[in-house]
Amino acid sequence: MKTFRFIYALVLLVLGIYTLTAYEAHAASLLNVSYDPTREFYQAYNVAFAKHWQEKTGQTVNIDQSHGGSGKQARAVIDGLDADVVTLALAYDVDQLYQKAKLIPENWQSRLPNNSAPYTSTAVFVVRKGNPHNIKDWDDLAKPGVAVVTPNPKTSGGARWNYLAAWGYALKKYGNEAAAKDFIKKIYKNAAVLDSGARGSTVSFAEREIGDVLIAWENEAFLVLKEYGEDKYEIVSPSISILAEPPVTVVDKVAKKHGTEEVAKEYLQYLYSKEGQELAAKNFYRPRDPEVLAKYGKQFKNISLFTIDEVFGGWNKAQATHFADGGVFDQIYAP
Amino acid sequence: MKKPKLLILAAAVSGLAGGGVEVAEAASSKAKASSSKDAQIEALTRRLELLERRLEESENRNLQSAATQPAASKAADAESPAVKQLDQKVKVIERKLEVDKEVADAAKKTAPKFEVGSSGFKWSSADDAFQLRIRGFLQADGDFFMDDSETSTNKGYPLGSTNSGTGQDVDRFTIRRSRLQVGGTLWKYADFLIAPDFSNGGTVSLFDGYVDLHYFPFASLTAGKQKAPVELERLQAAPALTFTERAYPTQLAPNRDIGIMLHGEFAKPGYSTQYAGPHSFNDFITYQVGVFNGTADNQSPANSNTANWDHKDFEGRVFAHPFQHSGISPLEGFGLGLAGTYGSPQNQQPLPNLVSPGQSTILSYQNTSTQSAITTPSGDAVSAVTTSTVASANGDRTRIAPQAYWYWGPFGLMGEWINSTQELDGLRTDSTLVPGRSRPVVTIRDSANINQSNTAWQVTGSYVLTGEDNGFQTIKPRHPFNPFDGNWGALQLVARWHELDIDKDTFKNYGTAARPVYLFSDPRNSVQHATSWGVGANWWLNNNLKIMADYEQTYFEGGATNAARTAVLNRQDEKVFFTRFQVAF
Repeated sequence: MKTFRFIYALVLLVLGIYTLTAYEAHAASLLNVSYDPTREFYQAYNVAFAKHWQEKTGQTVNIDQSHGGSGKQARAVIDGLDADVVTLALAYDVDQLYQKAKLIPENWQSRLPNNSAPYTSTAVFVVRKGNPHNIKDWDDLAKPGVAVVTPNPKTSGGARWNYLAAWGYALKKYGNEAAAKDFIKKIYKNAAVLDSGARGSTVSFAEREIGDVLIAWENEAFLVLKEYGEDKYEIVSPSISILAEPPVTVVDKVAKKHGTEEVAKEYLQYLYSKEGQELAAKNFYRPRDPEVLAKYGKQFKNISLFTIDEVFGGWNKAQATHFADGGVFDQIYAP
Repeated sequence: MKKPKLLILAAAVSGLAGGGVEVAEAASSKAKASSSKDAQIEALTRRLELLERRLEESENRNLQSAATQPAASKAADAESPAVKQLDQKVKVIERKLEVDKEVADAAKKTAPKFEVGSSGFKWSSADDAFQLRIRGFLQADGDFFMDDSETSTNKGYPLGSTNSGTGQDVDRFTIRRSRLQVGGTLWKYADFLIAPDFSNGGTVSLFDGYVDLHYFPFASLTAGKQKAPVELERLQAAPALTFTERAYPTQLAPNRDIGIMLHGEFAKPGYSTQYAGPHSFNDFITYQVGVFNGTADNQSPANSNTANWDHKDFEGRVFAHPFQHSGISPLEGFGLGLAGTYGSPQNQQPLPNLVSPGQSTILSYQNTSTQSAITTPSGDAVSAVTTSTVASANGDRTRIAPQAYWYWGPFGLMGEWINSTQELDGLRTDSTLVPGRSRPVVTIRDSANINQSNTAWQVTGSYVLTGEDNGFQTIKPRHPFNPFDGNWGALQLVARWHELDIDKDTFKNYGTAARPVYLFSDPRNSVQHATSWGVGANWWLNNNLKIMADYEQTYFEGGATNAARTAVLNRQDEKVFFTRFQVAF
């Protein structure tokens, strides 16, 4: 019997050792799970950061990227996609990593400056060259006969920023929720196609040539001009828009498991550096650094921007009120 | 002329737009109807292409007429916004269909699947990493004993039988097996099986309950209650049996046991393995080695749920198909293996009986007690004596079982031999209740220890008359039974010979001729040797229905006595006609 117990314990020990040693921390390798429009930015940023990390520590770091709709990306990480860092569109999506899976601490947003948003953006309009419908502000999107292209707020983080920007404008102009709801209803009635993500909307507007105006992330709008031609499209900045603060965070549980905590922290911290801020600006994100922002002042129009906290009381309230099943969006829009 | 054409075109596009939006609505809300939606999308796309061609033709005609008719060109310019509007509508419809298809395709990737067919019911996730499978089978038997009313002069009846000569064994209809198998897969590499059996007169027994972790084909782990990896015919699924009852070697091996088993399979170099469960052995080389509680020969799964001693049984088996993928077609289906067990039960009793093909007990171990009163000369009872005779397994138990089969086209041959050796203690005691004492006084009257060695072997041949490939597991009829189409399923003819030999020391008399004392087994109702032969036919109507009919005749040595209970005679031959209606899914 003693022999059997010894053998049995040995078998369990071997299994345990195998389990522990089967996992090897990848040497300086990061996975950044991000949202749709940041591809070009992180392509450039990753090269810069790898060089910086090499110079600082002598270690090579390989960075893999994953892009997709912000909400879908968050769900993927919760379901097991081993992201060392996430750089998503909405704080609400990042917060789900805490709420659903405790992958990050509750106070994640306070760990980095500016609510963990190293760059910002806003919602602007892209129109055909010459602005044939004379679109100047949000009111023009609600007019009959204007075809609007914007993604579906139920599936796209960027689309939710667009929606909230329009709602914020309407609240300011009309002064009450009912009027704002009616205003939003008119805009979405004019929606020609609701793509599932920001990139899809860009395809609809610029490649398929659908619609008269595209509501887009500011950086996405500049990329449309860059990719499809400044001779075909132009950007119109509304009078009021929302300050979109796409946040970033280390996914603590994953980084700890991978042994990448230090490099992951530095990866996000470097976004706030001069070089990181310059790259953000070059890729049409509004940098936080005032000097860099001033340097790119001509690129970014002066728009009156409100935050989600100021108008909606935060992402949780906005999500529950507008985008949850049966919320305001479901009430005003039927496919 | 052009205006009516444009109006007609506008009407057609509007109708399409309405229809296209409807299709989009249906697509977005009912991802499951993808095939009909795909057809709709295709049809709409064709109509859109047709409209675009007509639009282009109309525009070209407008341009041509504008060149020759200045007044008409002004009209064309005035109409181009309408044309542009139509163009936009067409593009919007196209894009909506694209988006809806993307959504539907994404939904399809995550949509669960439900399948029902000859392999039972299966629910699975889109990537098959999660599955729930419901299978089961029912065997409704009819067993008819022949010539059991006749008596041979030189043969007797088991001790304690009625000896009435009016049919020793009862013809019967019975539910032989009724089993549900709930299995599944979790996270792709963890399978489980829960299989209760309902055929034991209303009592539900757990036959199988295990989880199998198979991340690596060469080293997988099964924990729980499972078939012991020993005897070949035991590892054949019950619905696939060649005869209605398994042969004698099965009875000298463990049935189900609870423990943990490491198993693995290796394909021939250049080929890959395919997981088929912890007890399958289809690959080039397969091994199974485990540690279990330990069960006696022929111990029922219903009685295999408790561990009664510290020592555990080690059980292992290796099986190979040495000619797999060799190109030698006749030998591709040849397999051979060796299994063995080692354990050391402590005071295991009562020991299970062994049975004939007709399921009559042919070997029972002593587990008796008789009570008698001790009286005064005047007849007053002063105490009671209980005389117990118990045989128990107490000490080393080993089994070795070489086995092989060969299947080639419709032909099949299976053979195995097993030796089961176990240390038995036989004990006869008197337990006397003495007035004034709380505990009885136990006196050992007789005791003995033997190293019992039993053997059994079988050879079974089969041939599928209808030409389908024979096999160790199920036979799949090429043409399922359908009399309206003249299809009759598959017909398999079977024959076998099997023998059981019990160690003669089991029947040693420790008393006298006049007062025999059998400490292990009484030869007057337990046979020393049984020889059986059988022939039969199995009709596989389809993958799920099977009708069996076989005849088996058995000769016994020992196992009976005369009216005076003094002689050891050979038991009457057993002649049984078995039938079975089976459904398995």
